Amino acid sequence: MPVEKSYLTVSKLNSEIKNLVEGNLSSLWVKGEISNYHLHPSSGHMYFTLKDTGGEIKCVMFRGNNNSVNFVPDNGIQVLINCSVTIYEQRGQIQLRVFEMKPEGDGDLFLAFEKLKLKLISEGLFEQSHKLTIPKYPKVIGVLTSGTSAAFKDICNVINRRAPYVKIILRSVIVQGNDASRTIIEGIEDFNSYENVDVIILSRGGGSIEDLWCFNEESVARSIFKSKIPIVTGIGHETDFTISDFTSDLRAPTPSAAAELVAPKQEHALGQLNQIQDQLYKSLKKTLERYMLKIDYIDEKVRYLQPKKRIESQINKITELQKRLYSQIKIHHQNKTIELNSVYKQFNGLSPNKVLDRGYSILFSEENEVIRKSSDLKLGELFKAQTANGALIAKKTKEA
Amino acid sequence: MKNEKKDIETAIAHLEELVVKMESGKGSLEENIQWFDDGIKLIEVCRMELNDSEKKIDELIKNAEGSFSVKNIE
Repeated sequence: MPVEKSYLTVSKLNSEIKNLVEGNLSSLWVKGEISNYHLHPSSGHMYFTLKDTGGEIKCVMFRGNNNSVNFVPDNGIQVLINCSVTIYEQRGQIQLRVFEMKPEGDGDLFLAFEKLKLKLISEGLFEQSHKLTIPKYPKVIGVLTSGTSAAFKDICNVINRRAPYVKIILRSVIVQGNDASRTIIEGIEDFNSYENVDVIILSRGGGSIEDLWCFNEESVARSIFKSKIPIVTGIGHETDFTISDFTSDLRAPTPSAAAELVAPKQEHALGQLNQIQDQLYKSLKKTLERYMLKIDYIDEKVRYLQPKKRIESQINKITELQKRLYSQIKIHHQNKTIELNSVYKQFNGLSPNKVLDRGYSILFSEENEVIRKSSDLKLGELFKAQTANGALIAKKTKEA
Repeated sequence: MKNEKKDIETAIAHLEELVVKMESGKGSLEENIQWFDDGIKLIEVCRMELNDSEKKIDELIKNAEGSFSVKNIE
């Protein structure tokens, strides 16, 4: 009879392995390179193999977990995963169940950046139509940066040099590390509540991608997007592009450049005013000249059309008529004089004096009535005899 | 802008409108003179503002009750 040996069934063995492994190998961080990556279209689970030069292991990341992945996984990418070892008993296979996955190495932050960028692009946060207009001549500029930084000093120097009439209001924020994004968001909100700034400069001097990381955070980008006051970013150096730069209303390559973009040169503004003043003078001069020309023209027309000439001609006519009238009157007068003389002569011939001149007398009674016959007088009555030259009183003495 | 005060940008835009109106040759002589006077006055106001070189650097302070004040930090 064969010696009875103790044994395990395959299922039992797999079950034992599962208990041993799963109890001890949970919540591990494992680093490796993704290969055989496959995203199951209907379930949304991710399947891939994690490998390095010495080995490989199968991995699964269920949909519930892979929502938190902020980059697009692909073959060849080095990742750091948080996982537990699981045993698939039916097949005796070992695989890692992944809870969290981050890109590892140089590409890590870059990938996260790209992922967020794509997300915000798809939401339209970078679209030009959402950008606010930067005021040309702001009176008050809000500055969000570290109050002790060189960036802030540069900004103040540039603004004071270019536009000394501009007031600067600093809202000091932390621009690096864990608290940075929170204080930047608070700063944006504070300026929006305070309201009395025309434009905001969000700025930080140069640094590594890790140093500038707060400007790549989604919450900061959304806060910039939400601001009702235009925001100009001047972050790092010319080659640094952050998510904040894409979201802001205007991106400047450096803090100083942001100040230059926001603060127009005082001379430029004064020059513009001088130019406008010239234009106003020229326009008024032109208008006045136009009116003068108009007046000259009217004057000419009035002179030509108007009374004076006509009056002159009328006066001439009247003078002419007057002359003619005078001459007519003269002729008429002469004629009348001649006529009158003749009449006078005739009339004079009829005058009693003319008769008296010829030696006749006229007798008047005492009642001064002309005595026409002898019987008009009684005997002894006095009467007056009027001669051509004097009169005499006589008495009727007898009938002749 | 939230700034209700007449800022230089608004003033310049208004001045440019005046120039356009005056250059159009429209309007009576009286209107043109009025526009000119308005323009010159506005230019003077802007010049005064632009030449106000009293440098001001303040810090925004949020008070406990949530209101804001500014403190000079020059």
